[in-house]
Amino acid sequence: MRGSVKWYFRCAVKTFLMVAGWSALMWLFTAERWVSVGEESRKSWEIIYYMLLGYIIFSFSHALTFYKRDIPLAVSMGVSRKNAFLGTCVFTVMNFIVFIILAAVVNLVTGEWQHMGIWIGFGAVCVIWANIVGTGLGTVHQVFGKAVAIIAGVVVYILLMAGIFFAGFSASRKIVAGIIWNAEVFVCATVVTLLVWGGVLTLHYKTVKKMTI
Amino acid sequence: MNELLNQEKSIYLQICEMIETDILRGILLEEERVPSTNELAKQYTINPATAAKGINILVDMGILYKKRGIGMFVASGAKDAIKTARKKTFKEKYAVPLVREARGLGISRQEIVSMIESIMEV
Amino acid sequence: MEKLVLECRNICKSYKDNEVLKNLNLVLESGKIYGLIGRNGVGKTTLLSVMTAQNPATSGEVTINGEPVWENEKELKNICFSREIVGGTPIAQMKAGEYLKAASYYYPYWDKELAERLVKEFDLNTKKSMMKYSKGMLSVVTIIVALASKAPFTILDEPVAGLDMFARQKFYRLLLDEYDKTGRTFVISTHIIEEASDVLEEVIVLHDKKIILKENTQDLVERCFHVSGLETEVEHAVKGLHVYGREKTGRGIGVTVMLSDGEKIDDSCDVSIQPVNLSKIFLALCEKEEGL
Repeated sequence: MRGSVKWYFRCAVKTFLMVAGWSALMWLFTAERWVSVGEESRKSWEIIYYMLLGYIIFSFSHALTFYKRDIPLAVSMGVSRKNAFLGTCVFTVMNFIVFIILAAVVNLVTGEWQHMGIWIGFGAVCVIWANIVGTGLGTVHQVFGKAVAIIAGVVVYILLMAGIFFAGFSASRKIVAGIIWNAEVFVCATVVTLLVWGGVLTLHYKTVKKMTI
Repeated sequence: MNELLNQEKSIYLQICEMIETDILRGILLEEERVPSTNELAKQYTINPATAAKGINILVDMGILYKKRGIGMFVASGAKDAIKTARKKTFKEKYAVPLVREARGLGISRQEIVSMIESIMEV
Repeated sequence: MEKLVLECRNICKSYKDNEVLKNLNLVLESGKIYGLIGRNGVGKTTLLSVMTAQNPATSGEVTINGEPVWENEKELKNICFSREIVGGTPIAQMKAGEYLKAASYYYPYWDKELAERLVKEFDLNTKKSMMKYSKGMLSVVTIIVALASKAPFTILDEPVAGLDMFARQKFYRLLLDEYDKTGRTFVISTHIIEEASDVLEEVIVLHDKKIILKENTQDLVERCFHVSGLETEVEHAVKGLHVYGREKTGRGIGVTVMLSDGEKIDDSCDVSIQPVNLSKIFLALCEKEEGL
């Protein structure tokens, strides 16, 4: 287990660096637009928002490589399939912890603590969904083959990118605000997320258990 | 110890014979240390168990003996012991094939005897 | 080092309709250098991956000192199966340095200094993606992982593929050096039999879905001979013995004979009796056996 933790921690660090770079870039290029939008334009929103997007994009693609590369790599080096699989969950958890730390730092710098709790909840949900999609694609690859997985992956990527860039930041920001500010919606979303995650992980584990390297 | 190994005979026997030949030629003297199995293994890039097999034959024959913690040494009287052993196998190894080959070619006993006599005169 | 015994009991492995291994039994004692030989496609890699729990057997069990190996990290940590890195796979897209880093995390007995020394010795560029590596360099990575893992059971699948003669000699020397220092068990599957035969203590032959031979290399070479001459003479000389690999040219034939305990070739016949090397034995064995 220790070896797995070390390896996926390394992956988490790499993800963090990519997210930090992406967030900084996005913030630099779009900071002006946010300030001019008005009512909800708090500085902490912007940065955390980009970080979240960053985590979704990068950990989702990471999760895909876990199935095709990191799990087989671990098993080929003497790790049990169970522990190789659990290691990927460690990655998701570490992403979430790093996200919380970052969000806390941003809130510290901007002095805006009121929504910290909701950011944590929302962050967890998004990070988990990134893992779900990535893991799900990996399972699709194993069960339905490479072609289907690639098509599905491309569709997901396009939807994500379209949502972010073509719908515009303000529209997606409004959606996020709608979920976060409405407690019942938020709780439902969280419960659904955890159930789906549990289901995807169980299915994933079933295929990993029989994996041949 | 500078002979090459060939592929046509068991390696441990070749190691055995090489050490014997070196003793006969005075390359290894009595009461002198012989390369260890690991040294032999390294020198010839062979498995140490194989080298050990060769050395153990010589130990069983009394040609080498072991000094605890130091290594393998040539026993005194080894040179004579080797000569005696080789004399015993000389007939099987050289004489029998010689006669067989000669028979196959139709060389008579008289011819063989005079051949050997003329060679031994040199 | 603790005495470990790896045992394969009645291993069967099939891929859909294709039966690759059938009732295969094998016992590996610790502290020896084994060679695994067999024809292309006979299932050497399959056997090795089943032995190391990377491939589930269809039936049968693999154990170390009686403990099953499947999904058992306590026993798996005693094994290193350093297999060929196949170009085009996601693992091959990694940098060599990353791959070695993963190995250092996963193998509990990893020797960092040895790995660094070997990287220098083979002049490996660890910052390059392994996709850009030649076959020889991929083999070098395999070798470094195997040697530096310091695993009590270390298995190498075709470690010298793509290596030139000098690199191959270097490998054999490093192998013997490591064996000398640690007495680890090594299993090497190889095609280049003759070169490797000197360093192998025992040879294991996989043929026809099972192990047909497992024997000390020297003992095996000693009991095999090539008998040649006029057909009638040869047949007389080898009467009742196990004969393999008959080659016929005109009125003459050559056969390879494997003697069991106490058997002898009738050398009063006019035949040439020559020793045979390991590759010739393997060639003869893995074609069909003929009794005479």
